[in-house]
Amino acid sequence: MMQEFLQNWIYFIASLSLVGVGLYIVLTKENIFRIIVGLNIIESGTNLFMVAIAWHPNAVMPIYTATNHLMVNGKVVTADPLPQSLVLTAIVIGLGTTALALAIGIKIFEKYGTLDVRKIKEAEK
Amino acid sequence: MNTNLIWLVAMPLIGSAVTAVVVRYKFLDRLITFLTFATTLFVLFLAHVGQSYSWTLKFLGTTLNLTLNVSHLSIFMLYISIAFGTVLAFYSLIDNSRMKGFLLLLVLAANNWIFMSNDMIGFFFAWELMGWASVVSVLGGREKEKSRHAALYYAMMSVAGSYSMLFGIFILWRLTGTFSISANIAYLSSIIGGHPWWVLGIVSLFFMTFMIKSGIFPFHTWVPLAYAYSPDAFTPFLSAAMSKYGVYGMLLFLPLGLLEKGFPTAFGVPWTNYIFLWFGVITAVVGTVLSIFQDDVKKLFAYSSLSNLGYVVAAIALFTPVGITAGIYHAFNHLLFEGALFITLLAVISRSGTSKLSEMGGLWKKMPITFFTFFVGIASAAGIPPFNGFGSKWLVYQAMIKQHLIFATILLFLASTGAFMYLFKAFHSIFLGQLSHDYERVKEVPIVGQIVEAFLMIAMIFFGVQPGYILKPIGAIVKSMGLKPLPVMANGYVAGMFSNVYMPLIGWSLVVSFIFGFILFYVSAEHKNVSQTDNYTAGQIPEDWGLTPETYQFSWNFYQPVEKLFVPFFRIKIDGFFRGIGDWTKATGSAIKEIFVGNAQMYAFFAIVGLIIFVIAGWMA
Amino acid sequence: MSIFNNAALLIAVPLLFAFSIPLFGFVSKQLTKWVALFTIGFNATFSLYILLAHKYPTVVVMGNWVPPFGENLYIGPVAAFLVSVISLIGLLIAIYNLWAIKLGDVTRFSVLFLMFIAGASGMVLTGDIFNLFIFMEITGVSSYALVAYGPRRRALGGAFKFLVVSSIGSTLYLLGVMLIYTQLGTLNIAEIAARINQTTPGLLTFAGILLISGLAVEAELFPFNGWVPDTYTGAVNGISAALSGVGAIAGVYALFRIVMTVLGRDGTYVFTYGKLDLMTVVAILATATVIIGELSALVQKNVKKMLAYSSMAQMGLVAAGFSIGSKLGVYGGIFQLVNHSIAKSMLFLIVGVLVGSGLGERIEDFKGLWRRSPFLSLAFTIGAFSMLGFPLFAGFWSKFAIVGASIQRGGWYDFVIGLILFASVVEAFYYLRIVTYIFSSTSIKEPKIRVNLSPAIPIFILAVVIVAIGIYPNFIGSFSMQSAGEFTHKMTGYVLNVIPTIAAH
Repeated sequence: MMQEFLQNWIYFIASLSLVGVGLYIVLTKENIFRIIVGLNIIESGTNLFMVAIAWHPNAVMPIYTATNHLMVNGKVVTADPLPQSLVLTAIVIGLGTTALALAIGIKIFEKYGTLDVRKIKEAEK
Repeated sequence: MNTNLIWLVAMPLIGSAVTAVVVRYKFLDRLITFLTFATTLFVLFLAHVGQSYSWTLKFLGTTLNLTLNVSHLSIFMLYISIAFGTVLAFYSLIDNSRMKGFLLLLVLAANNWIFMSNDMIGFFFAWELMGWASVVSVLGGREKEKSRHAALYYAMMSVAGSYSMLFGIFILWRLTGTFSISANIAYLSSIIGGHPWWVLGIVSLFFMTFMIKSGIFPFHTWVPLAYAYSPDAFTPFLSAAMSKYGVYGMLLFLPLGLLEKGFPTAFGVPWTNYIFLWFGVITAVVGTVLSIFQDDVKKLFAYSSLSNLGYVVAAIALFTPVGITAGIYHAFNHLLFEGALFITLLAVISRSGTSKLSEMGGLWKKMPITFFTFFVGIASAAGIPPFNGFGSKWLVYQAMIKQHLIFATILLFLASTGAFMYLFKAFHSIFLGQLSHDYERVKEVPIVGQIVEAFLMIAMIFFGVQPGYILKPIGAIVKSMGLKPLPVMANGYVAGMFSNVYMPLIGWSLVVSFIFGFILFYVSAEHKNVSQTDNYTAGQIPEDWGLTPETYQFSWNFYQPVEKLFVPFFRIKIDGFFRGIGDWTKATGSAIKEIFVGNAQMYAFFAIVGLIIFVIAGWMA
Repeated sequence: MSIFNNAALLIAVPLLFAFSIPLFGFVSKQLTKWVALFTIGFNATFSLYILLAHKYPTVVVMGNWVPPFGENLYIGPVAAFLVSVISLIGLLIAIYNLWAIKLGDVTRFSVLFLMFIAGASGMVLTGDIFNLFIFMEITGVSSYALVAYGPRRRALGGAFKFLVVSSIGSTLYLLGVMLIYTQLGTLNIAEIAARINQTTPGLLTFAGILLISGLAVEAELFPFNGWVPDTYTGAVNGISAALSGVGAIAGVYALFRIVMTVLGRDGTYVFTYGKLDLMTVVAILATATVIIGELSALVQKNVKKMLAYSSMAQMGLVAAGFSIGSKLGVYGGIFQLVNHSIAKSMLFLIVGVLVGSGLGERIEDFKGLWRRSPFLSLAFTIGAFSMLGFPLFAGFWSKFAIVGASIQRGGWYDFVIGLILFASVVEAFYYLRIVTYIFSSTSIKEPKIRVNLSPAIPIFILAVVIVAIGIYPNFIGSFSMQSAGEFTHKMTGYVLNVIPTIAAH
């Protein structure tokens, strides 16, 4: 029972908690790099969510070979390949965004001399 | 299909495009403006009552019919406004205020479209066009900062009015599925018996716009500012012609209450009209009272103008034959004398360089033609027979008394008496008395201006002595509204309810008495000219007392004793109400602005909060 | 020629040239701006050809995988119209950039600008909700970097705020997409649209809320629009113009493609499936955006910030028009979207020219502009009047249509439009305040402002277009009407054009 529950739901729970943790970091931390890390965690959560929906406990790989039967009793038993390919794209996009965010963060540090968003806000006034 | 009607709108638009190109060359700009006005007037001669033109517009998902339609009322309004505009444009050839010809022509195009339009899309389009063109025109006044404020104030009122009308237009569209003005009014009159409050609500949306445009209480606050600080050459059109758009609009909607038999009445007037009548009466009184205490001559006549519009509104609100006749007649007279007065003020201000009464004086010898035009103008405004303001005021009183509206009549009489006070003040302060040293070298306006002034003077006398020429077309309008027109008499008569007045007789008697007075003046004791400040200072030099010569000018605090009487009433500030709305909006804006001064996290927080609220809403649903 | 059927070039060509621009950069930095200009010029020509020669509706299939199995681009009336507007405005801004962008890394600026245009075009063209996410990110990433361009440090703050909010938004969007995928197993917009009522209503509502929240960030709707003022103010003016003229179009398009086509239900008025009517949600957001945007703009002293808030408010007006859900309302919304893009990008370009010639950004600095530069003053006035919806200018017709549609629907939309009209009066005040400042002259004799040819061309063209639409609205209006049909009748307008064999379930 517990195992079944874990098997079915653990990844969803984990992914949504990652999103929650990431949001918490973004909303509460003052340091720009921590905010970027928070954004990254949100992205990881989303990616995990995408992989999790493609997977179920008894899935087989979605490649047709002599020993790998994709259908059992007329039901598809493969893992869904599409979200896995999507998640690759999402990871790349996340990488790009993070790189850009870090670049902006470095620039901000150069111009303002601080990474604290509150101090930056005061400096802008 | 009468294609000549489309030229009434297209002509000014083309002229406007041309003048916009040559806007840098002032004389060319004014010349083309005048020629366009004259051509439009010529095109108008080709228009007759009953003509119509319609074209289609693919818009709002359907094919809409835009219709131009010439009714008795619209052709009357067109003639008087375009003719006056032509005269003004002719004067503006020699004027050097910062009026832009293309804006005036845009207003003219809108003017023609408003008066002819039989569909609400065209009406609204023209109304908005007229609104912004006149707002931008007001910007060019002499006192830059003040005219900026005036233009903004006017624009806010105008925009608020437009949106209110827009709302009303679409409400009507939802109910009837058509934009045709006549069809919608027919619809409104068909449901007024069953749902009077609905109709009242919808019509109020329109009336707010019309009242703002005509400057009817409590929306009169923009009038003095916009009139006083607009370019001097634009003010005559603003006062004479543009205040009539509201009157025209009201005339379209006012019959509603009458069409339903058994609609509750007060004093024989539908109660809606009765309430509206009081807005007119209050405007007349308020305008007069405020006018008395102005030192800026353009402000003084701005209040005078709106006070006269109060008469017009009070009269047309009655919607009796004599009321409508009186209202339209007074609207015409208002156009003529107020236009003439503002043109003479334009002349005086362009020569003297000031609009302060306390800085003027004694100009009559320097500017005789202007002086006589002004004199006839104020005589008309005061309603002195045989000049043109008399007949209409007389009819207004008759219309009121006919309905036993004693109290309103008394108030209007009071306003009329007040009118004598401010008119005399202006007359005395500008032209009579001693000439100030600053104006020793002032000359009469150039010949073009003199021609215009003389023409207007003759027109005022002519329409005063021969009112039939104007009462006949008004009779046709009254008839076209389904009312019984007043009896048609010879040209010299003003035909009233109780008695008729033969104007030429009054005219001759006035001429005779004037000659008699003049003889008396000549045979009486000799008179001598003294300097302006001679008679107050008793040999003292005012500077020693820390006073300036202006304070000893006779028009300084001209009506101070009367002013004290009205002090309690000045505490009621309608203007303050509108400014209060503005301040409140601003304060709210400052508060709301604080949402957006956070940092990235704050914005992310808003987004998350928004998300959570929606999720909860979705949960509950 | 068959190549004219391959509208994928509208995305591929800008991307190709974007990544080959560094090669041109070796020759000359200035050359890269011309490369960007010509590439967007190609886009503009091609999209105009598609639009005017009526080469739509057509489906561009990638690698013979017919929809719903493969990824596809769908060029319907909406896509053809909006992609033309995007590339034309992009072209004009590229012309402006020839003059404005001189300092810094010009090469990479050109790369990013081309990517931005490619991303925005892709958002409008794509027929796949995941690809929509990808293009949204391309647009997003390039615009964060573009916002950060420039000498001023507040640009960085703006870019960072935009990045954080927008990243969260796209994550929410992605989660929503995945939720729908779990239900239907497809990412094709047409197929999802046809089968949307097979989903569990509760989950669909949740997914819809996630999607709306994600897309509202780009569409500048409250409370997801916190980034707007700082980002617009921080960016250089050409980029502010691009954000409001190009980015906003793509954002609003994406939002209503999802809400109306994917989640919507045909009828006299479009409602959405699920437990909550998401069109109502959007209407509430839109009204709040209009009021908050206008009131905040009222108290600004900085012209750019004022324009930014006004941009936000106008997006609210557009969204309000769409959310009415009738053909007329969507028509007004699209029309207003295009008019706003034209007028607002022109206003930003004008501010850019003024700032470039040493004028400040405060409202008082506009005093007496008429004496210094009649051309810019007139153009600014035309833009402002169009924003206010005065007749003879483009904005009149669209505002008229939105108000009309709203009142036609009636019910609580009467209150929506009442509030919006009140906000419009506020808007009239702050725009006219600037206009009156422009025409009120200062006593100090100041030198005239010389406007170079390269910024003058786009400003002149945009001003002429505003007046032309104002006088003859039918041309743009007919395209808006066709587009409205695509939104309001999703089966006949969209789904059946993409997958002719599918039946609504």
